Amino acid sequence: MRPFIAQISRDLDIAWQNRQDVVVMLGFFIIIIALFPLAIGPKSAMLQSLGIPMIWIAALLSSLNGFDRLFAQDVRDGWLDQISLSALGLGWYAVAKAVSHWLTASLPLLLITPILALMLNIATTKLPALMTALLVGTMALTLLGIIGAALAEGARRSSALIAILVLPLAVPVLIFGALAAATDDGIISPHLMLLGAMLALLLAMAPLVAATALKIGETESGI
Amino acid sequence: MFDYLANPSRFIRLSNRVFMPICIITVICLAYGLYLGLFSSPADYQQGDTVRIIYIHVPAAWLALFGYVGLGLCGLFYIVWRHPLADIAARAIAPVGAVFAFLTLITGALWGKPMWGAWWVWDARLTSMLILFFFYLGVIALANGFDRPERGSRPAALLAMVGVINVPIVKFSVDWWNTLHQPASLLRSGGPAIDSSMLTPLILMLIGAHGYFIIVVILRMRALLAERRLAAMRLRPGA
Amino acid sequence: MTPDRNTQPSAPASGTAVPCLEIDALTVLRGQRLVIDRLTHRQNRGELCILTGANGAGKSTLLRSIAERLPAESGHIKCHLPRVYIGHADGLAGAISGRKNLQSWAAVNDIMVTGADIEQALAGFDAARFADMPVQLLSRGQRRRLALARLLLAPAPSLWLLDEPNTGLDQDSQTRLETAIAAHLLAGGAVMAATHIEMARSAATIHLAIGL
Repeated sequence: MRPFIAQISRDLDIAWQNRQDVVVMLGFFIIIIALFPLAIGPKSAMLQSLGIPMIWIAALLSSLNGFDRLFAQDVRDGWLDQISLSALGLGWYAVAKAVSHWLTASLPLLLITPILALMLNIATTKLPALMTALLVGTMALTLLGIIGAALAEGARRSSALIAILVLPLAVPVLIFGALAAATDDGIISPHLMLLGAMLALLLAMAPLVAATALKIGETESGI
Repeated sequence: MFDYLANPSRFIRLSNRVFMPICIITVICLAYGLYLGLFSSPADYQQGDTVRIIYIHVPAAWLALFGYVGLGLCGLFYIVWRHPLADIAARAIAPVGAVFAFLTLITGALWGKPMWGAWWVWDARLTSMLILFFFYLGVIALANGFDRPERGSRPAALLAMVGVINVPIVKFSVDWWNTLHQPASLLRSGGPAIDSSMLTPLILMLIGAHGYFIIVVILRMRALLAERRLAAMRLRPGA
Repeated sequence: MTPDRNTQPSAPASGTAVPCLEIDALTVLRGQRLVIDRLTHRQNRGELCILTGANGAGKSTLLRSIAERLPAESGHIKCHLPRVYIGHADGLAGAISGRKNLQSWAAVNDIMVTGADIEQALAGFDAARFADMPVQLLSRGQRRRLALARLLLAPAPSLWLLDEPNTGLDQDSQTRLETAIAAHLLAGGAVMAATHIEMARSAATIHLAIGL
């Protein structure tokens, strides 16, 4: 437990040193959302029904942000070598990375979602379902990003590659998440339960895949 | 000196023996199947002659899926047993499977235009096939995305395994999505129960397509093995 | 790694050799290139093994194989002691301070350290002066000293795997490293180091030639 917490607090420490990055990422999120009405038209009837899907797509794209650098810095620093010999192990390290990434990237998104919902005229009654679905969905997307980042670590165009790897795998999350957010079945809908099942599956898969992918570190630069 | 030639030699000998028989079976099945399918089997009373495209569409779809499962198996063999041929097989299968997936999408579009009036419909099966195509692209991109070519084998193998687990999940989620958004289902591809006069050419085409797949993969594997042998010889000091 | 620093017994008195590292017919490939060819090596506690060989001969490859970062094509490696590996990279995160880096390293390895232990480790390489600045602002030698301070926090005894540890070190720091190694060997630890520079010689120094 102590090694796990230590890794998370290390990552949070490092993120705190670069805390302006969060603002950039939030800006990206907001701009994507703003582009839709600009492309569609301000009073269009479509805008109403597009609100929730738009937030989902924007969340998906923003949560991909920064994954190519997730392990790269640790590999180059030689920290990954230390982790592979440590009590923590690569599997738990990957989970710790997921936690700290979610806290620094997805949590801010969740916090400004109510404001965006206002901008998009999403009914406040829909907000609880939306927030719950986003909560579970962003956790699932983060774990997918961990898988993508671990697999593409050291590749040439890793940011584009991670997107190609993660987005098809994210389709079920997107489908269940958008349905869970827009549903009239209340917060705990069947869609949310399916989303939760995806999260459980990814929780089991991601550490295993990431640890296997990161296990072999041939060169110190990771290439 | 680690001998790369041990297993591959045995593979080449084995593949040489089965190659000709498979070629013959493939040609016979494809020729007869196409003849039956395109000429002598009945046209559908609703769709007319356009239904004949299922003789290519269905085998292509089946093989795209079969190919990806094969890819996943190769991945398993590579990661767990570090079998040297598994990587070669995966690199041989991936583009072939991807082409079959693409063929499925194209024939689906060609079928869709006269049927539904649109070049593309977001029907559950076509959408799932599209995502499978993306899965293929991902594996190929990852396997070739590193500066040192052999570096990509391991992540690609892992991705193939992750993909195989996700394929049924994606299929399920797309079905879920499709039925919820489109309560009135579109025409089921293949129509009602398939008559035996259509079944025979279909099965022939399936067998023929499997044979074609195997032949192409064997040829690709031989080429890849030869490439690797060349590269190894160049690295050997004073060779 | 073991939870507490000083619970392992030190090596018995000289005369009894306790094996700590056994390598049998190790073969390691890099891509398709054979780098290590059926290497066999035995090392006991209290021994310093210096790897010699030309650049690219495979010294780093061997150290990384023992550190389990590279798979062996064939052969076995058996370590009876916990390993501490310091490669070319320092294993330090640039954005935070040296002190925080050492603390998180100890925590991640589940080693109980007090503030005094950290101070002692920093003092061992005279790194306390710059231990509170973000590591990315430090010079190469200063970063190396912080990386080496880790050795003084590691549980004893352990096997130290050092890849060019003296890179960028001034004379004073090199002497401190030799002192640390000597004390470590006396306490029953072992060291395998790839280095071009003359290290502390003793009767228990083995040379292992890598490459042709």
